Amino acid sequence: MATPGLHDYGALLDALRGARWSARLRPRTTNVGAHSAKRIGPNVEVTEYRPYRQGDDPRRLDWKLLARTDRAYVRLAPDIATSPTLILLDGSASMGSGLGGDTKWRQARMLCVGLAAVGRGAGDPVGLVIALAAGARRLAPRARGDVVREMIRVVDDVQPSGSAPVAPMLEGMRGVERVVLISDLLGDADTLLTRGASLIARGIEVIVVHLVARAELQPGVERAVAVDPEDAQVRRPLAKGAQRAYDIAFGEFRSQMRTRWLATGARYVEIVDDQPPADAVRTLVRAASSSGAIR
Amino acid sequence: MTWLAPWALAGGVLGMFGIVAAHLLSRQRPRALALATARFLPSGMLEATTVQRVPQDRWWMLLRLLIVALLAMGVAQPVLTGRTVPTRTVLLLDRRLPVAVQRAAVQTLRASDVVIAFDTVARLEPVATVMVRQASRSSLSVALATLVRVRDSIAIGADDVRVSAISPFAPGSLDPATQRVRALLRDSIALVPVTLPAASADAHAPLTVRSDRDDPIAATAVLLGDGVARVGTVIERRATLAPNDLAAAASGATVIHWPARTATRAPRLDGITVGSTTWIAPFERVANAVPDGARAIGWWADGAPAVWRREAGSGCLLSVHVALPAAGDHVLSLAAQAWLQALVTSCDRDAAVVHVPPAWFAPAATGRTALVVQQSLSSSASPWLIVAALVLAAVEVALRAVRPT
Repeated sequence: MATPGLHDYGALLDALRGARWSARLRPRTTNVGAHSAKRIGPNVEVTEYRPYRQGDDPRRLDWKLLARTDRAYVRLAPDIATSPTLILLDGSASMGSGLGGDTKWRQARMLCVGLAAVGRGAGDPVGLVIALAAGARRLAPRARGDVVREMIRVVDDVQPSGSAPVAPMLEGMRGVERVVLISDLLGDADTLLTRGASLIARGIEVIVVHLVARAELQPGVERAVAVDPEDAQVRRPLAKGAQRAYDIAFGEFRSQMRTRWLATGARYVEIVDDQPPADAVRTLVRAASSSGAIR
Repeated sequence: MTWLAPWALAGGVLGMFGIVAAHLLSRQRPRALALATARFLPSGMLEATTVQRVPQDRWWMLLRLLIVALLAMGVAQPVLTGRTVPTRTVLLLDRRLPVAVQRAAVQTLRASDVVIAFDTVARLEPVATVMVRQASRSSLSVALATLVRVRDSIAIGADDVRVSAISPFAPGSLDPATQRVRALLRDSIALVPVTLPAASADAHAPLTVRSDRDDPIAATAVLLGDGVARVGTVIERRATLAPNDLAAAASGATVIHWPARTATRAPRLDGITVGSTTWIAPFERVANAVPDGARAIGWWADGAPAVWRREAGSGCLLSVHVALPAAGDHVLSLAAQAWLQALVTSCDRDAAVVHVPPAWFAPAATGRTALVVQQSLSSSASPWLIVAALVLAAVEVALRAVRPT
């Protein structure tokens, strides 16, 4: 499949117009956004009053009420905040060209751009980290208007190669409320799971997008030697007789990944590379506001 | 061009088929495909025997086919022979045979055949240039030795060479060397059957008797009449032979030296046998020295020789050591006439006899046709072809080490 062009990105952004990505957890940020904040802040919409206590911010006093009744009360209202989102993209060779072409990487890029656009539509800062063998490409979460365009430029500039560990990219995250992991989970899956669980324990929402190629689900090739693009030593005969054993092993792997990630409290979504990107993004957005896994 | 070992070509063709089959039924590794989930495939043999519709590694196959073809051609020993004839006959022609027989034998040959005409010497001649003539003596050893010497040159230009012989196989034509020379030839020899007339085809004339006085043998000769002996047959009743008698004998005539003697003692009844004819009369034996190189052809009743024969050129010289009775008409009897006729034709009869050839000359087991003699040829191209095949094989091995198939 050809590299997605501006026309493809444009069609995707048009299809996602109006999509909203609500945070499943209340953000702890103080920036005003579209999500209900964890804290009660100085919003214009007053929900309740309480007596002023020592230590309260004097600016939150209702001065008019104090002037009329000589009672010091503080205005309270539910705050709304932004949910800084970081999209973590697996850039290892297994995400690149394979049996069915580079459809997996193409789908990953479309998901990146689509999620960034939806997040940006909610006013959330969106950032990107691509784990590459030569080093990570980072785009810090920002809420500027051109963040989607810049993300398109970055993902188009990268080709997956080598065997890049993704788990280290989850360390040292600050100010991020939501992490979207887009990967085929064929690399450092166990380490990634551990780090992901750590993030969830810290109150960060983790959404795992398990990207699977249709050619991986149904290889359909007889008399070939399948070579792991990340490890040339892994060479297995791809023959008709091996199809059943392969289906069982790969199915068990996917099932295990799903079970283990859900057990950590993460969102788990399996996306196939031939799924329309807009549908896939909407599926992910829906998963953000629900509990459990979505297929 | 012909091949000295054509079976090698068949072997080469089989080898080439094997190479093509090996390139069709090659055990090869299927194409490699990148599959991120390869780890979930079960382990197994990465190579598989596949049957291809078209041969794989065609350049390698062509190189190997070339090697086998060169090797097969080298072993097959190609020989450039130009224009060939299917069969060439070599006729060993014995000049002791009558001229008419020789001419008839030569006329049965084709233009591509050759003749080794022999008497005491032998010459290889094409059919078109063979000059027939009769000789009194011949040697099969000479003819066979000539054949041994020229057999390879005869085989050039012919797919098959057959050796035939036509000879009366007279005792003088065989000698102790004949069998040894014959053993040098691996070819079988076909014997041409010879049917000679009982009487020679030469002209006949009245018998001439030369004597100084009246002679009873002359009377007997008159009684025999015309046509009893070949032209030139003379009975010399004088004491010694005249020089022209020896010359006549050397030129082919039959000269009978029978000195006219009369029995002095009381004759004793005795018998003389020549051939199968016996004359019984009161004879007296004459003791004379045996001529050099003579052999007995007539015997007394007790086995003592009475008539000697000596070869003289192409003719025949007989010596009769018999004294006739002084009286009586024994000489004019029918038995005497028959005996005299047997005597004067003994040379003719002897020349017309076809003896049975010895068994080793044309063994029955080898058949009557000759073996193909081209195997004695050598191919000059054969070593080069084999060397070229070996060089290419070395190149193939070296290339395979650098770039495996």
